[in-house]
Amino acid sequence: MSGTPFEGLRPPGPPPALRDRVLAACSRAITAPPEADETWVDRLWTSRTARAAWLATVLLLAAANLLLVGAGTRPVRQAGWRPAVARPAAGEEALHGWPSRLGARSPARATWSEPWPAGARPPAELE
Amino acid sequence: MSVATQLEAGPLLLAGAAGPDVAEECLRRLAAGDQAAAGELYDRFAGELYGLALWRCGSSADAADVVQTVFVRLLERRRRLPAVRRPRAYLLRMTHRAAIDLLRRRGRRSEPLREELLAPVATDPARRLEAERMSRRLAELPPAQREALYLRYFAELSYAEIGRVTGVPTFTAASRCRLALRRLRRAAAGGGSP
Repeated sequence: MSGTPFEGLRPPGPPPALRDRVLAACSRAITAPPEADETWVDRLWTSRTARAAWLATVLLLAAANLLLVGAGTRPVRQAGWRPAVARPAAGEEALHGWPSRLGARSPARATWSEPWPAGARPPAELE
Repeated sequence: MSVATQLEAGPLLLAGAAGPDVAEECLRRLAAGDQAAAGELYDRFAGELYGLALWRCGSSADAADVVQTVFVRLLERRRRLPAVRRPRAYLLRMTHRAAIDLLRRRGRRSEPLREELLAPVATDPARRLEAERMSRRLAELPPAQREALYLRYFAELSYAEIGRVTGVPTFTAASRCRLALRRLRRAAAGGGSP
């Protein structure tokens, strides 16, 4: 151990009696049945294929989770109805007294620009 | 390190220098239920494992219990042994965990050490005194730092390997060694405990 604080020193070895004690314990353990079968743990431990399959499953589930969460946050659209999204015009903002920063941060306002479907009457308050 | 130095240093360093293939073969035989392989593994690794357990637990009785636990656990988990790629690191890791389990069961992290943690390589009264002094200084260190020093200077592991054995990042392993050495140097300079 040159160049270390432990030069010329070493940890004490095990007591001589320990060998017999350990081997006696080993012979008792070797006659006992091995640990209860944990089939899947053993497979994961010993088989590279099983580990790869497990990893692939985890990745697949993570990807599916991301996709589903992404799909859940999308706006629902009705068929045939397309909202035209428009910001209030600058003049309109000034008219209604919107603070410009608030106006920039506020969600875009939707106005229904499509004509009403044939035969349908628009609500009275819009007439 | 020359072969003569290794022989002089005894089984501890020889265990470190042993080829991994022999140890892997021993584990495979143990997995097949060959009890003689346990004896061979003991002869090859017990010195190193006992030293690690002694430096972690600080008691020779506890260290002996830890070594026995490691060998019994090896046999209990013998189905998994053929998949072990680095037997020495595996055994050191098992020893580390068994030592921590034992200390937890007894409800203490560490207690003042009364054991000699070092012995002189040669029978020299001056070395004997130095070993006693160094043992006292080591006893004042936190067990994790003592363990890191043991793995670095006696098991001759790299910081990355120490990290893998003790379950900490490489940086932590290196910093434990550095702090422990600094405290030992300070204690040596002051002539007292760290």
